Amino acid sequence: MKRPIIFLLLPILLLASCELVQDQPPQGKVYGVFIGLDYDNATWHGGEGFLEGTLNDARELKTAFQHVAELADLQMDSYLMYQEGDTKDQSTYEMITVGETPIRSYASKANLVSLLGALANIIEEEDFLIITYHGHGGEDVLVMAPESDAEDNIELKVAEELLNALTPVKGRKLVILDSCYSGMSVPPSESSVSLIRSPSISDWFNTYFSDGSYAIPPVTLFTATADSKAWEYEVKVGSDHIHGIFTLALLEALGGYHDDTFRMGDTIPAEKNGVVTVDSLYAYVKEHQKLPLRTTIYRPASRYQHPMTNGGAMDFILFTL
Amino acid sequence: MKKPLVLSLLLLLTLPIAGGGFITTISYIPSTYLSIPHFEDELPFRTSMNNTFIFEPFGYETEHWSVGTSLKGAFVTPSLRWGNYRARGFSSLGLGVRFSYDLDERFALFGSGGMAINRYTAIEWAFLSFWAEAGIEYTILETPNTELSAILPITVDLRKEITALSIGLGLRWLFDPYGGGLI
Repeated sequence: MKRPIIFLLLPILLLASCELVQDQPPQGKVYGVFIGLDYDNATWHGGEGFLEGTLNDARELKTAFQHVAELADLQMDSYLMYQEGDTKDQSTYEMITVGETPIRSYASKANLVSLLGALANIIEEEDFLIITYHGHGGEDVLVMAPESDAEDNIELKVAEELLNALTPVKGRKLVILDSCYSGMSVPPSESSVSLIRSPSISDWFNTYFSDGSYAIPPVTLFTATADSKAWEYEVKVGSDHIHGIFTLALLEALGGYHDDTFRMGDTIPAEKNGVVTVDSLYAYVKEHQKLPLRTTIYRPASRYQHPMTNGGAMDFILFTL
Repeated sequence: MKKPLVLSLLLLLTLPIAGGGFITTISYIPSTYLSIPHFEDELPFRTSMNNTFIFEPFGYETEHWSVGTSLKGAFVTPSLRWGNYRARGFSSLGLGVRFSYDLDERFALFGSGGMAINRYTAIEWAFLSFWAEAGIEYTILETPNTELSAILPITVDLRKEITALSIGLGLRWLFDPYGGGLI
């Protein structure tokens, strides 16, 4: 009787996991670029579109990521790029020094491209870069701050320009976008179909039998919405402290909370089995954000938003705690 | 369109009563799920746990062989944490066909294959997969109407970006509700 049992268990023992016998790869440094714009100085479309929560989003997310990096024993360098108030005078914005390159922290397209260029010179293969953007957006487009009244080239195309500017940057890259229609920048997957984008039966088969092959995305995107507007809400009813719905849930996922001011707690709610991953943040935001994920006949909603991230087999581990 | 469907369902429902050899089975197989990537990854394969439940509502058996249709549900966990990435967990629902052949009173060989739809646990992305399975079955207990077996299946899961090998040790409960038929 013993012999068949040993015979049956042997293959399982032989196939014991790779993960348990290999040394973990070295953990590098974390770099963060946090971009927030209130558009008070905007002249585009008649100067409309002041946003109240975006600067809070960028500043507090910077604090939250730094806190989690500290808990994970990782060194983090963070840069805030912003546009605040009605001035276009860049001299009122402080300088950021990346490596040896000084860059103005005013969130214009040119300054962001310079910052990414400077980061490309210092980021190593084992490092990890987080970019977050909080502002207006359109289909595959982010709206940056104008350098002058005459400048109308303020749209930053995500796929063509931002992701291209990130190509020379080594290491792993995560781009978090809290803006309207931001999920439309998430490319289709070569191996899976997005259920948010309502695939047909033929999409399932076409994806499986297509020639395209899956690769871990060079830049992982994590966005506030799939294909709808993104909204802002007050932290508490009656409070004048505003955040993007998505970023507020993301801050909570990272352990942030608001009482009289923004603070970081002792636990990271998005931590699962000792790791914080894009999927664990996504799951937390989906469950805890203050708006429904979709509008349906049974639960109609004028405001809704559904987060989005890249499909495919692999989840991105951000922090091991 | 409705008539053939109703007739088929009636036929399937009445067959077990009409004749002998019709069986229903339920199986549970916990297993290790080894994802071998077709893409560049940090490890040659990643390890997850897999819990598979198989329900075969309509099977037919003779003295030495049996055949049945199967409905398969599986829950694959995210892979063990290692490095910068991990394989996503997913749940799966599939349809397939299963054959088995008795080697002697205790041992049998079996094989099955089918197609499944799979949804990642945390995110709203889904994918199609095909599977093929082969294994050994060992009858532990037998009564006139039921049979309990230990099964050792080796399953190959053919996904677009991954070929996964699943090896586990499970239990299969066979039930012949009519003990050889009523007619």
